[in-house]
Amino acid sequence: MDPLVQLSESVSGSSGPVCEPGIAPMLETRELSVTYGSRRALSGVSLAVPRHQILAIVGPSGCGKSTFLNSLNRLTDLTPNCRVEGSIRVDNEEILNADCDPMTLRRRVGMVFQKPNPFPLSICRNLAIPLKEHGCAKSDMDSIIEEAISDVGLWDEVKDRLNAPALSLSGGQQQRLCIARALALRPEVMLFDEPCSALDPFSINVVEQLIASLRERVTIVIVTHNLAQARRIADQAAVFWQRDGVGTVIESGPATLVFGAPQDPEAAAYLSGHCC
Amino acid sequence: MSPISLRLSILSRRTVDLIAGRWFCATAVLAASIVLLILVFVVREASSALSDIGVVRFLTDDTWRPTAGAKASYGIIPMLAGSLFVTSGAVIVAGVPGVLSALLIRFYAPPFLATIHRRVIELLAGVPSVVFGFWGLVVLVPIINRLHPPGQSLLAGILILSLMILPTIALTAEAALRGVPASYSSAAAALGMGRWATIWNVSLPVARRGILAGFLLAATRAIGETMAVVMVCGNIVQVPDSLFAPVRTVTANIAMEMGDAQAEHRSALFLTGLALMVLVALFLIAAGGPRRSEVS
Amino acid sequence: MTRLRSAKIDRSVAVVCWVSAAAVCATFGCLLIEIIRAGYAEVSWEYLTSRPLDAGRAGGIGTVLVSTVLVLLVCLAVSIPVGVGAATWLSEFTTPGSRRARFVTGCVNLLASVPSIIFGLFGMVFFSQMLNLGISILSGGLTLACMVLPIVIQTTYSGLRSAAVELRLGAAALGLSRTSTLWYLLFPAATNGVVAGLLLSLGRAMAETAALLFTSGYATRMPESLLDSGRTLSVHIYDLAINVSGAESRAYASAFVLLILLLLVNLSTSMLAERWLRTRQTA
Ligand SMILES: Nc1ncnc2c1ncn2[C@@H]1O[C@H](COP(=O)(O)OP(=O)(O)OP(=O)(O)O)[C@@H](O)[C@H]1O
Ligand SMILES: [Mg+2]
Repeated sequence: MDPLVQLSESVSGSSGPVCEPGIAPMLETRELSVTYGSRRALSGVSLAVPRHQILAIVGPSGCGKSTFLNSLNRLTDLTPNCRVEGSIRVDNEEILNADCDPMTLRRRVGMVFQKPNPFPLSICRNLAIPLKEHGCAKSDMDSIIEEAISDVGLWDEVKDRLNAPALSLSGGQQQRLCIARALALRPEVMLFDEPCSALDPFSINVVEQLIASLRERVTIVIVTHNLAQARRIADQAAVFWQRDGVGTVIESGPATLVFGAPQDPEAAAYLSGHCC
Repeated sequence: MSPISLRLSILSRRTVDLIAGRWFCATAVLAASIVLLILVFVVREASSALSDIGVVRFLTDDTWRPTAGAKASYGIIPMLAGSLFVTSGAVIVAGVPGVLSALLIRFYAPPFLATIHRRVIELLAGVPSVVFGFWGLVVLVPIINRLHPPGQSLLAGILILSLMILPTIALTAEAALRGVPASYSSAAAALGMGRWATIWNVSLPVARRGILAGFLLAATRAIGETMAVVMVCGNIVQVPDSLFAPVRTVTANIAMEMGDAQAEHRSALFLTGLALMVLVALFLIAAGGPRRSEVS
Repeated sequence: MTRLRSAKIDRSVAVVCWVSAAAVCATFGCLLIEIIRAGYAEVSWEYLTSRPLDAGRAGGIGTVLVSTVLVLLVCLAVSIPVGVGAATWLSEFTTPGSRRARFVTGCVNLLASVPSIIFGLFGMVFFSQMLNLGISILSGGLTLACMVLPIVIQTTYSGLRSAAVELRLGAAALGLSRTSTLWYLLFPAATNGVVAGLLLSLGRAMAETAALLFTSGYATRMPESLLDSGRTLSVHIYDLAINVSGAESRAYASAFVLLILLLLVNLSTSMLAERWLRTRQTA
């Protein structure tokens, strides 16, 4: 194992949420700004997430949270005339450079969407296709699939019907399948865009605990509208806000500080629920 | 998932993506170029007639006798008139029952019968023009002949074509009526308007554009129709003076003469083809844009 | 008062609608019954398998059916890959609404409005003469392929577009390449569209006559290669009805066969369409 990874694992395991000096954060953006055509959606976002921590992003609707997330795995490439400027570093590697392969990047930076989006294929194929795509040997396939499905606690529920259509699963199960699908690729970072907002309360609980437990293995950025949830699972937090129609970060840092003693008055009002 | 196999697969994936992209782009270019090729070739073949005979003679010669050597004449006005008469007659004859069929399907028939009527009309749309022509020749023409010889006539063409384009009119009108938001008619119903009042004051006016576009699409289909017209219209080059007079349309003329046309004559036929394309283009512009292929 | 009048009009319009629909159906029924009645008697296994004799007055339509199938095969073999490819490019490889996309869509829509006799002229000049394919099954099939291309493109395109945006996003977020996304996810989703396009094209091509008169020609012997001329069923009907006297009963028989084939194709199209509609609603 990479000595650096080992080191940071021990660091994040023992110490608090503060970024240890001298150790590069797993994910870092500097002066990130995103424009759709001529419309600026996001500007001046500088955030860092230490290895194996969870960054929770909160903020009102339309302030660019999804846009920020999409730029982290260059899903913004898919939107015509969407321009991303500034710097995004994943494990100290600049991903906005032309020589960074987006497909490999997206294997390293997995993503789970608000609405569960399993492929309309069998449960097994949902995991097998991306694995095959990324060069996984046939012989390892079954064990990796089983491991990934077990990791999200779905194995006992689906092990007898791996060939059943994924769309026959319940919403919560589908979402966990999507997480498993991303986990099977052994990502280093996972992005969650409101992963619980399309689920029932029971599934929310299950998925939330799952995400919290993933902290052991991946670095996580999660967008959520549920402030209580953010408080429960976040190590780091950032509040996005729209200023003059442009999204930006008005408050960020360790979760305890952001939620406990926000500096920005608007953020404070938002976090205490006295706004909007 | 060793790093090496990973990198190899990425390289090959990129190549595959690139090749696939090229292929799809090539097919798209090919598909787009066909209509341009058609235009280019028709114009090219027509160009010698354009330069040697000239547009003026096509428009002023009073008949079409391209094989008469030195006394050849190239008037296409009688045939254009034939095409336009047949087309407009067919649109008029098919228009009313077409729209009525749409009203029946949409408002008057119980769902079961509406589906059946729709299906019948779709089947009618699938009957090939050569079968329509043949039926016209063996059934319709003798009937007209009994009314007023010779039977092969403008009227026969109009009737057969109207049967052929009725599905186009009915199905587009039905689609246009279906496109009227339900909230409009329920608003009308809430105002205490009866069924007919709703149809007349709300549905038809809102769907008017779609229905008219359907008429024009039907007209483009009618004016381009060849086989049925060849078989029932009599094919005599003349501006018809009655419904019972035989006519020859532009399309029929091409179908009949292209087989053994040489030199000037051939080129002149291509020029009539070009004239036909211009007419179709005019209809399309009137209908507000080219026809989407007949599937939706 | 006006209410009463309106109700009266309503009733009369209903009557007129029913009468006109009945008239349309009756006319269509006449056509069908006439062809079936006169054609059915003539059709036998013998008729379907032997070659036409005496310009079609005697013999059967065996070779004609072979030519028809060959022309249709050439047509589909060319139009399906090209049409699916072009639709894929339009849907997946270019931005909808961009200049290039609008240009290609515009050209394809224009192509859909070109009269079939013009396709015949084009096929004669381009395939038969310029590409030196002669009056042949190949020329005819290629001409028809040009003609049905817009249908294939349109149905495949709507099939691809019916695949949800989330599917594409999900695939991209997992690092799937475009080709894999297409292969594993989008083409399966578009299968219905492609099949619909195939059936519609088949019906359209089978019914076509004018575009084939000068491209695949009138020959009645058994085609030995795709470069031989061969008449299709619809050309056969035309020829019997117009150029051969005393072959009316034979023309009925051929029309009967053509009509049955087309009814089969069209019925399966609408039945499939209905089934897909239902599965989409329940899914
Ligand atoms: N594809 C796009 N094209 C143009 N503008 C876009 C696009 N996607 C997002 N935007 C704009 O960017 C801004 C930020 O959108 P974004 O979806 O990132 O907001 P969000 O914070 O995720 O909101 P929500 O909480 O509702 O999900 C919005 O004003 C939106 O209108
Ligand atoms: Mg969002």
